[in-house]
Amino acid sequence: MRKLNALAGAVGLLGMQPAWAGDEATQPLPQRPAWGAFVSFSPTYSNNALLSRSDRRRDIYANPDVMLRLDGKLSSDISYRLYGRSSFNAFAEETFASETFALVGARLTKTLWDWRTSVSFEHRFEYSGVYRDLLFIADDLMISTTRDYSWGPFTVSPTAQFGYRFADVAEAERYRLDLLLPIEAKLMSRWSIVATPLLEAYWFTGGLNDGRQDIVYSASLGLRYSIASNMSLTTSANYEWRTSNVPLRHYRDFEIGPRLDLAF
Amino acid sequence: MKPMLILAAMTGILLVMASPSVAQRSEAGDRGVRLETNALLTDVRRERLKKPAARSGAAVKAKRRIKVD
Repeated sequence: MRKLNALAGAVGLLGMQPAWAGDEATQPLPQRPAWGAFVSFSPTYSNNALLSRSDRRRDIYANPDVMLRLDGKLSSDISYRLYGRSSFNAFAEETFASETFALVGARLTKTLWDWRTSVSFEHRFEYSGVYRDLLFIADDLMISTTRDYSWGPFTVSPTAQFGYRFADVAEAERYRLDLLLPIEAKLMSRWSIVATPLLEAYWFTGGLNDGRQDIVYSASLGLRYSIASNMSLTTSANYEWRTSNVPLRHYRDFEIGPRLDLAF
Repeated sequence: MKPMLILAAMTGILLVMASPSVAQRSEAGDRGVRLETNALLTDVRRERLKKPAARSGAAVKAKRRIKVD
């Protein structure tokens, strides 16, 4: 790990050079970049594995998510993140619904009027099955902003994200807007109630999907147990409803399951 | 002859429309939707996690010194 940190320092220093070029004397020394690894795992039950309007099939799937990232600062108020991430859904019976992504990304963050605002770029590989067939390769360009409001035991973190996907398959190209309102209510020292109302809007721009507009409404409600500061277990239920101007794309899905999150 | 040609053309169009390549292409917009939503919600949960603080060499030495004292 020490070797990784030394490498991170070298990479970070290379990245910092442009920021220092202006005025070295007045710039505070940036913090050392730090590596982080995040692992999540969740067995989940879905009552609509295929996300189909009419062909509803119940199934259970495993959903691991691994991320390795490097966080550092370019200047006193601009931070960067370089990361690699991969995740898949592996269904027990409905294997057609299994899918995978693997990506590398970069993000710059600056706080504007108390809102943490980021621009990010992700190069993504999308597979059907568990790393089986490559479906498309996409480049996502996104801007997002978030902040926390706290009142007593409650923390609310309104978040907005907007982006465009460029892809080698025209049908995957689209604009996307996400509006989230994560809410946490602390019950006791380790227990919290968590809820996340979420709206996702998609405007497709290419190929057979040109002109298609989807809106996904969802809400999750769960109970979170903080095992340690870097480990938590959240059991939640999530209801999702998609509408589209292509009626075939409507669906409703209910999912429930525990999720374990770890940070190293 | 004409009805046969029309029938053949219609069959051809239906076959093309039903072919897996077309279906797969239009579904490219759907693939990954569940994963991406899950990833977004995972990001929210991860925001609340704190990595174990990395202790510097000086901090470890200081702690050892306190124990010895």
